[in-house]
Amino acid sequence: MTGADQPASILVVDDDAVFRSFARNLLEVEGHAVTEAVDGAGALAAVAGQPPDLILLDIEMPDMNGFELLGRLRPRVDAPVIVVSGREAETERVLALDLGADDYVVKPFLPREFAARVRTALRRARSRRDAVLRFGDLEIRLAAREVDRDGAPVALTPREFDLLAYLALRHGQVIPRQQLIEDVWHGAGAWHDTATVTEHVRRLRHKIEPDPSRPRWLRGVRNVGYCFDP
Amino acid sequence: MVTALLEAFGPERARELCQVFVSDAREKLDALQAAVDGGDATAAARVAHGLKSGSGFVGATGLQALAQEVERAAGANELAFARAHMGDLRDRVASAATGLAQLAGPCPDPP
Repeated sequence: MTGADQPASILVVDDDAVFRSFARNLLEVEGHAVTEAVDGAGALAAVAGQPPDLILLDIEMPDMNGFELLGRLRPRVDAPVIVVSGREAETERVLALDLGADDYVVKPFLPREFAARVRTALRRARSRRDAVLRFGDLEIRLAAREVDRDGAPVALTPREFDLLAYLALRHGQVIPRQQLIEDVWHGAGAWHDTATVTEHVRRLRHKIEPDPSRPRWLRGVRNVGYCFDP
Repeated sequence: MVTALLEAFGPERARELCQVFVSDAREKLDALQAAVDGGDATAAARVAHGLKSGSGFVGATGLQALAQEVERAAGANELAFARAHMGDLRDRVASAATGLAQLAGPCPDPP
């Protein structure tokens, strides 16, 4: 769990070497660990492993622009995204925010103000991650990694909890099995296949569903994946 | 801006940023020259945009303003402005490097 006063892992995505140096130096002074990507492909590879706590994202990049990248990152990454761009137009700001950016900052900017924006984004992210999700008699406490059903604790393995939390945070969205493998298992081991997901969902249903044969929460979508129904 | 960088980063990190800026600016000048010579206004606008952004981070306001003008002109498919101001851009990069070296410490030439 990462907050404003705790070290965070931050991914800087920009083809501009000067901004990457600016951001890395500033954030390292603040105590954070910084990873850099110079294009969209590098950013997608970086988040496929251990997702960062925060992403700084430029709009103008050679292989795919920041809007496209943001659209591809957002369904998978909960981390706050601050778009850093030389473009000032309102339409660009609105598009970035509509695509899921948490903030939009026009380059160049002063270091202290930018550091404050990063702290704010991390603080908000911590609040979000500390949230308690309640769906009927099901309660998921994200920070404590605890689940209760009808007031009684449910014992989940770490992976079962990760899977449940991932789906619950995206309730109402059908998530493909392959995406679950990539985002919940973080590509950990090529031996994981979609049957792994099926088996974990089966176990989860037995632990949280009143009637596992007629799932209330974890709905399967044939040939696609799963959806957490709120 | 350099004072703000020094306060936020300390001298060593400010010097590193300065070094990156000078190296990057010189590469961009070469890329801009190639774009102008090749008649590629889109590339020229993109490179000028990058030069504008980078110079803003180190407080090289004169260079930033001229790069912005070049970006605007190239964006309108007008390369004559960039062609006419390449020398001025080079002078402003050199001037920025000298100014930064005085404030943040030496910015060695890139290899």
